[in-house]
Amino acid sequence: MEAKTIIIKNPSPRLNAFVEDVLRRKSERMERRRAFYEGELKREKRM
Amino acid sequence: MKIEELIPDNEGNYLLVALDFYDLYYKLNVLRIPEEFSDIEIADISINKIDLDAPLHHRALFKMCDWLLSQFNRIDGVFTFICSIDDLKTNHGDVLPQEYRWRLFNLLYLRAKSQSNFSSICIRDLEIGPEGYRTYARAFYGQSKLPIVNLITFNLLDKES
Repeated sequence: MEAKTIIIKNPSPRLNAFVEDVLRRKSERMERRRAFYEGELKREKRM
Repeated sequence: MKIEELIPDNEGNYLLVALDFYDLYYKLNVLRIPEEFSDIEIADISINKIDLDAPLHHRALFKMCDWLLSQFNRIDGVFTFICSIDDLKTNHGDVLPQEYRWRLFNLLYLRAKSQSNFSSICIRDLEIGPEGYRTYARAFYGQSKLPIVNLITFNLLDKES
């Protein structure tokens, strides 16, 4: 069930803040996770 | 709450996919979901390669789609994918990172849809921001969650609040 894309060229401050917050948290979390697993996989390889 | 999965591409690289669930405070105060509906599970999908400099075989992306579909069916909530605007190394330097992510994610969605039963899954797409700074978002939900998705969309788009 496809819906039409909603295009918001001038987002409200509320939407802007939401998107910025989600993206910032996503970026931080994913880099932490990636670095953790990268370290674990390297450690596993050395053993 | 978070759920994550490390998916090998069997060629030395891995794909990390995670579901980050919005907590109660966020659901009530940011998404403005009425308290009586606040038990709905809403999760944002994050995807990353482990070795950023190494290529990733596409089989890992296909396995990721299977994993996401199984989680969606198990959790029965709302999943969102909001494209990160972080830099991304690709062979398509003229395409913005978020647009590249959006195109790839959509291709994977279309492929998965052609292979599995998606009849009960609805999607809502949003493009947010002016040309050049635009990012993309997609929400996946079952029909029964439509009123909540409508409410969240309305609240986020409301310029008066």
